[in-house]
Amino acid sequence: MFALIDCDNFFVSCERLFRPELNGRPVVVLSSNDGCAVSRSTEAKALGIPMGAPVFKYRELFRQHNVISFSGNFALYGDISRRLMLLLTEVTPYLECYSVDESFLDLSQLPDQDWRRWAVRLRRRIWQEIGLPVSIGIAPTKGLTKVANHRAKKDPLLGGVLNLADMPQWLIDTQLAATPLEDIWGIGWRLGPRLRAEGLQTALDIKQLTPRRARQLMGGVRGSQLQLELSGIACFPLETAGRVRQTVSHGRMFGHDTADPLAIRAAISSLTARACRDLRRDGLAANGVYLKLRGNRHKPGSPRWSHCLRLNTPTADPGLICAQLATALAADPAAQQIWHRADVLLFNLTPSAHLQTDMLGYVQTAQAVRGQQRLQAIDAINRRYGAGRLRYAAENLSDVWQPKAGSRSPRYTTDWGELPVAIIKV
Amino acid sequence: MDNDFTFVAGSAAAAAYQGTQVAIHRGFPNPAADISEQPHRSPLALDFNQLLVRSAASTFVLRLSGPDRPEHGILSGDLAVVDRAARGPLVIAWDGDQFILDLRSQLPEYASVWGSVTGIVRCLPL
Repeated sequence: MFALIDCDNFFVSCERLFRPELNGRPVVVLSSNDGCAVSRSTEAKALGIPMGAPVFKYRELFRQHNVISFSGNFALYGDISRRLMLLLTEVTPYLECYSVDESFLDLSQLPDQDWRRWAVRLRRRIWQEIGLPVSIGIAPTKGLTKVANHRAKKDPLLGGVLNLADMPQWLIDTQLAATPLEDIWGIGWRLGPRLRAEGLQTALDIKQLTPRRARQLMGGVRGSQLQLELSGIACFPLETAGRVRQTVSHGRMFGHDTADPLAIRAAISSLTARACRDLRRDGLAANGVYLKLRGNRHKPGSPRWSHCLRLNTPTADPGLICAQLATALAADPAAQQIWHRADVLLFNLTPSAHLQTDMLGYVQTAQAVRGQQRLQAIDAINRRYGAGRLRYAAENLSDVWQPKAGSRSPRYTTDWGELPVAIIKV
Repeated sequence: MDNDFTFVAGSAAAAAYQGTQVAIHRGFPNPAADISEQPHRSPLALDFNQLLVRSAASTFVLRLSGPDRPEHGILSGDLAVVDRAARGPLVIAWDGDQFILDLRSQLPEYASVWGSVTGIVRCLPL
């Protein structure tokens, strides 16, 4: 038996924890660079502001209805997310942190087998101790917990908890019929419209597909697994901490569209440094690097450029990677355009302990070890004195690429200089 | 001492790091360096979190401001350690416009409790 715990409007809820006066008012949190709304309060949703709404299109609506908008405060959201995971590991060690605001729990080992009562108490505890509203869906498969969670959020009568575990099949089917197929786990923005074109609308329609049809429509085995999960047959186990990363990517929109090669190199250096830091934290090294540049989508004929690097020796050293990317960038005239966004993706990851050789059989050990010590020193300094304190020089070539963060709230929980203030009354 | 990393920016941090004796050695490595994630901090050292934080998930820090209350041991500028999972007599509450520090028993009825104060931290000027 599984539970899915999903925070309601997570980023907005984090902002409201330290600004209780915003409860009951329309609030949105904007993506990096303040481009579009990535988290909306219930009140903002009721105004018809869709997920991903570009700010420039909705500015008038925001003004009319006094919508409060925040630039993303990702230090705050990360810290609140960490607190929730900490609380949940006290509840059960059988826990999969699926995303910043979603966790799957395996309930079979739980001492309290009255799952609804357990969930109601847990929900109250999270609200009391961390100040986060969450919804909890319980079901025999992860796919069904997502449906249960969706219904628990949408139907106010359910009080934020829906347990499909001991429900008769016909009642489960009514919940499936009330769930649009886009809200099914594993059906994203790509698959959704294709299924709609086939006349399918809800989770119930997907469940009632024949296995053959499910494979055809939703891409082979994965498709029939989605369908089985909705029928109550578990195909996906809980993936606890051991999930091995396949890729690491970091991307950012530039503060302003830019053709300045220094700005672009600074962005790439910084993104690569961050991706490599993630690699080193997980003890991995990359064999391949993919760099993608994109022009402004809202302007006609927006350009794209990408470059793929195969590394002879797996590495987590941003210096090595940046040097090669910079060379490739400078060499190709097609890369000299006005860019809006850069993405760096590291792939083909291997554990860095298994030092492999390049084609000629060389492992330049002394150099590799010195490089590794240098990176460990950088990581240690940044852990101690704050992320990004010690940087590669190229990261500072230009700050045009740094995201705009017009109205970021204080980093209430991660910066001694930005703590919330309380007035002494006593 | 190997100065391999001084080519990067942030020389003040690097200098401070060298002072801790656990940077990059040419001789024997520090045997404690493998034990701890943060080699500059011994796993045996006293950790103030142990003393001040009972529940890491629900403990927050707020800065206090306003009139000094020496009779309660509270001065403006103090840090309040606030645990939302605890229930004590001294609380942080939201009064509609701001957070206030008050006794639970004296709270105006329109104020709602945000968390209980479980500690006060003050650094003295030198």
